Amino acid sequence: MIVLGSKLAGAGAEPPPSPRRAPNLPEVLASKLLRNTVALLSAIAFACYAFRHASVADFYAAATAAAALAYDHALIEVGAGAMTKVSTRATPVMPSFEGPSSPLPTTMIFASAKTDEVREEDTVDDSEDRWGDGSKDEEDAKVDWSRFAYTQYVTGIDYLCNSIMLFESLHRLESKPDRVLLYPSDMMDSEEMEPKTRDARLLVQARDKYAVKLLPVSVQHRDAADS
Amino acid sequence: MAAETWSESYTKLLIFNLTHYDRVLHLDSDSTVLEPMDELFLLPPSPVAMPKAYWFDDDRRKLFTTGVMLVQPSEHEFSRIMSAVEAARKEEYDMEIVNNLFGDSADVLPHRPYPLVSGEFRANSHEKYLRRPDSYGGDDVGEEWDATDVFNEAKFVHFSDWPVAKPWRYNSPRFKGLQEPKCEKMFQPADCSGQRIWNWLYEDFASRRKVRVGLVQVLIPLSYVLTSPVRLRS
Repeated sequence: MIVLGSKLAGAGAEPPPSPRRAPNLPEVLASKLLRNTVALLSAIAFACYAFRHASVADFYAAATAAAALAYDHALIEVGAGAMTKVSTRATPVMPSFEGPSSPLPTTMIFASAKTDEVREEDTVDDSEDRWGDGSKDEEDAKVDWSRFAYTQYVTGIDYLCNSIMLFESLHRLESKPDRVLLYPSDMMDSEEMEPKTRDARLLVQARDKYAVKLLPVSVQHRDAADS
Repeated sequence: MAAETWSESYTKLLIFNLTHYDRVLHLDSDSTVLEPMDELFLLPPSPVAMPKAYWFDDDRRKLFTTGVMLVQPSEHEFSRIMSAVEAARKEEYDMEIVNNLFGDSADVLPHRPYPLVSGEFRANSHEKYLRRPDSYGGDDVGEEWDATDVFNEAKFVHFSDWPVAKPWRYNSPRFKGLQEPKCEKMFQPADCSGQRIWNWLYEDFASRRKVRVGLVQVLIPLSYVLTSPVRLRS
């Protein structure tokens, strides 16, 4: 019917492409509906995931990322509408914020490969007798550095991680005094050899890798003193 | 919530009880160590030594800050602190307690080079940082701000940059672009050293901090991968 109609309408004119034909695969992929659905679904999926598994702070981070994603998406739409092929952002956003806090497969990366090499050399000569004979100038040799210590106190995971990074820096920069970490006694047993929890694993890592002395303390609770 | 803040704030003061050591140095952990500070332990004896909170306005900059705290542990001082903690009012934190107890007797560590605050690179005026402790109150700074020089002399940088979140929290690239230090355009070519240093501080911290691979980190790039062919075509 249609073919017949177009033949009747115009002699020699190019027939307009039929609007009714089934879309091919690239067109499906290019459709705005699919694009937006995928973006929306992934935003909802990770929002749900974060809500279920993570603390409030993690949830906040995920929400921020979702908002940023949606915002970028909107900008790209505008760009495409103006017939420019330049996307507003050359590389995808790869946020480096913290993920949900507990039951996830986690990878710990503390420093670049270069510093890892240094650290391995360091672990050969050990922390106890390192300062006795290792000192270069005479004045340093007279100082008994074990009478001094850098200290850190930790209460939660955020600051535990920061404190260990700080000790890693001091270890890497070859600082001489002791390193002491105060931690709540319920976080780990001080002689733990096979840590089970994440916090305990970090503490053991600090003790074994960066020669940190662990000191459990009972945390002072002001409210307990009041009542 | 309140109990937690209290307990965290007080735990810092427990280092006065480490009498096993002659001297201990507390450093706030939301910071980057650029150089060891071992020489501080060799300073002349003093119960407590701290830098002043140079970034405050008016009289508060004469207060001591507890971000870098050099302490000679002693049972006597520890019992003084514990009784001060017991008697502390609700609004009093470790900083108030330490200033009340040691405000007159503590030694002053030079805030250059020990705690440089990351927000200094974003500040409009650097007078407060450039003043040496002995010239508090004086008007003459007598020195030009040079971000590279300041960074090179600093040994310890504390992250404090409101409204920018701490470096282990997520700041969107767009937000950071708005907040980062501006280039000095007084002369050509423009001087962007402060901006570069500030961005380096944040990137360095984030790269040393754990990188967690969780579902969130997979889904965001994934949604980009899924939509990117579309973006290139349109």
